[in-house]
Amino acid sequence: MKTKAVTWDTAVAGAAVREEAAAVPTPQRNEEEFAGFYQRTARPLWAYLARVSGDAALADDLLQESYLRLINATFVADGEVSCRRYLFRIASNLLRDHWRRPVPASLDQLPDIACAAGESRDPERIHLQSQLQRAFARVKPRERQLLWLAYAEGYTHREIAEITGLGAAGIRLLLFRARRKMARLLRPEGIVLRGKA
Amino acid sequence: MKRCFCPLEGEIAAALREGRWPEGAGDSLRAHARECATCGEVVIVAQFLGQARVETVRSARLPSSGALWWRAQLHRRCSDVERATQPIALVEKLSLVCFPLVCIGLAVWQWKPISSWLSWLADAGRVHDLFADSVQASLSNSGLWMPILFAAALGTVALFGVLALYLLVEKD
Repeated sequence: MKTKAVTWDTAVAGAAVREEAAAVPTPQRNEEEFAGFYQRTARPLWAYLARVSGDAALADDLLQESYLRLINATFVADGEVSCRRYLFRIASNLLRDHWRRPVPASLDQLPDIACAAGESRDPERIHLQSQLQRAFARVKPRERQLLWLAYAEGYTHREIAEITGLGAAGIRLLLFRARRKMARLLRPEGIVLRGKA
Repeated sequence: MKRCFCPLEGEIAAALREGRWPEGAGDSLRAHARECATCGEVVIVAQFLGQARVETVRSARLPSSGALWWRAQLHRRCSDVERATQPIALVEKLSLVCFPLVCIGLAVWQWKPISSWLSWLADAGRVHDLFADSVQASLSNSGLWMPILFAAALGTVALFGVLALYLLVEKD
């Protein structure tokens, strides 16, 4: 095994790198920074949890638990992007733990998500929401997760692999299958979003 | 496998994500999306999920960041205290487990002095109580006195041991 000689220059360079790392703002250490980070990430995280789990109350609980774990984690973020990714990873692990618990797994017993569509007065939007809800209920939780991370959050395959803990090589194929399934569920009724495509 | 993926699907997904679809995406990309099945699916799914994200994000009802921060600090302090008192708790558990074992070990090791002491006790008891005397006499005659005393002592130790274990489990 090769050993690297420690000289004055390498020691100084190492110290500079450590100082730089310490200077990176991390929401885990400072309340003010946390408040800003929370402001920017809580809504997308809630949307992810609510849509993937299909349960708004569960999303409330898991959101709080995710932030508690993030604050108390020993993870050192190198910027907001990686911290956000880590937060989504925590949330995904909590979701996975929730799915592993023995609960009634019938689709009829899935709680309806109480958001968006209920508040909108636009009939077209209500229709789109209910259509999406029905389609989402027919795909597996893992597929919902992959689709949301890829197309709602815009994460790359590598980032999705990091968040979900799945192998990076398999993400592409899993995503392709999930997308095909979802597109088939959405297509039959000929839904076209207003002002798009 | 080749049919599964299209080299342009990433570009189309990016255009959708950045709000450049369909106007800002270019004619060739739009024409391709009409022809390519994979890219057509990307357009449908990404549009739906993008719209759902906007709606869901808008409808989120969140707790305040201050309350979460406070809860996290409280949680951290609790776990710090737990970590600090862990060695004490460990020693406490060890002592609770070791006490009955040590008692039994001592009883076995020092059985001769204990048995003579017990017989002395039996003799002393005989002097004081006439009723007990008769009982003891009958017991010692039948050779049951010593085992009963020993069993009682062991039973007490076992009782304390079980009690200690119960307290240990309850504490956990």
